[in-house]
Amino acid sequence: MPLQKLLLIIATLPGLPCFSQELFIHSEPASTMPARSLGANVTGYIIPYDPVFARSAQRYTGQFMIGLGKRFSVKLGAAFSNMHTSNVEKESFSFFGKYRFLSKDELHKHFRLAAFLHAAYAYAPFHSEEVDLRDKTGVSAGVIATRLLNKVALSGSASITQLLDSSRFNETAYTPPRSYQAMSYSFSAGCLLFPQVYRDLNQLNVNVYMEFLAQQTLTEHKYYVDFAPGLQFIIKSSLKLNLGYRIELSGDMSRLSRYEWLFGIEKNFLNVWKGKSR
Amino acid sequence: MKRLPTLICLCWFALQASAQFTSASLEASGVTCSLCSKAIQKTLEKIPFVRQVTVDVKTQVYHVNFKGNSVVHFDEIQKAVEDAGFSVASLKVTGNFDKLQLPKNENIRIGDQTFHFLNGNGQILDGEKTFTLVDKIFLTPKAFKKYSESIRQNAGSNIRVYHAII
Repeated sequence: MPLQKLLLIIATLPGLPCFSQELFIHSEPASTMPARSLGANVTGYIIPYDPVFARSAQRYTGQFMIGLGKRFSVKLGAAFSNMHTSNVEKESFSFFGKYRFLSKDELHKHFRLAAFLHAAYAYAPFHSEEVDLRDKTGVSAGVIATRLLNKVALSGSASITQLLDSSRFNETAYTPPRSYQAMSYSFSAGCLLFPQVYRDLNQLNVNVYMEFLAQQTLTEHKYYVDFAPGLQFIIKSSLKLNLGYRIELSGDMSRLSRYEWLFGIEKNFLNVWKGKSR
Repeated sequence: MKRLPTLICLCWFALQASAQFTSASLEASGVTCSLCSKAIQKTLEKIPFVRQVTVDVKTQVYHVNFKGNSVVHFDEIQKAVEDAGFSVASLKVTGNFDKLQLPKNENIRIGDQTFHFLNGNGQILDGEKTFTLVDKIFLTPKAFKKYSESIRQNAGSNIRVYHAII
């Protein structure tokens, strides 16, 4: 898709008759989960045909989410894929923790800042230059800023990732050289398309998202910029269905795939355990 | 000077009035998604003295009914909204009063709690009446600016005083 067309779509987003939504599909908002809530999600990433594999490829991730406090939530995750093997096999385990340290709430709008830490232990072999914690061992830390206005939610994040694969600490010279460090950035916009007027909490909600995901490795200076549109359905205010697509707009690093489809389902459970009274 | 605390206590008893808070109308801020509204509703429903919560999702107003003969702690309501990940933008509380006179520049005990009506001027509350809490935690930062100075002047007490206007 030409870049001008994309920019035109994004420019029209605030003009759509919609309201802001920040439950992004490809990235995290600065908001955290409600305290004492649990959640679980399963997401499938499908590459119908990729020239690198000369076949279709899939990745499945599962996450167990815990709202530990009003400002702190964690996710424990696992990834399985056939991107490294012919069968679907375990790829990695991960921990993701997010702390919301600033909230400026006004009626129907807010500005929030959060810091996050992501760590992963991967079983997959070290392929490609893309610094991705779904298939590589490492840690990532970053900040997220989310601005919720009446019409559109805008969110941006910046993070640094350090891969801790054992090959980083040995004397072997790899060709091509391996990238162990990267800066990643995201920019997301989202809005509620339906219903136009909220009547009750059981109405089906339809949200549309446009996201940009980018990365630059720090030693080799390879990069990518992806565009990731998405559609989300929320049923009875508790079940989320995500449909997304991600495609590389520009880039020069080797990656497992330059595009993928995303299908996800997420369920949340509120007030799972009792809190302390004041 | 030694008698001052006793005197203050006597004043409080003199100004103590029985009243039953029946409901509150709460506006939440920073909310634009139905998942968020549901989280607030469910968290409010878990408060022991809350009987029922209904939501007007269009306006983000939560109508909270209290159980009869229960002690209502408004701080718990704010805490519930904060636990759900949001803030209180306004909290209007309704109660039944029996010829309660609001003093000027003085605290008043209502039920088990202490209030200070910033616009108290001898008005008499009788029957079902509604007033608004204006402490920092019950307002948006913008709305609180209007009251911050008067509340600051009344600070220094080591008991919980709810500031209100009627």
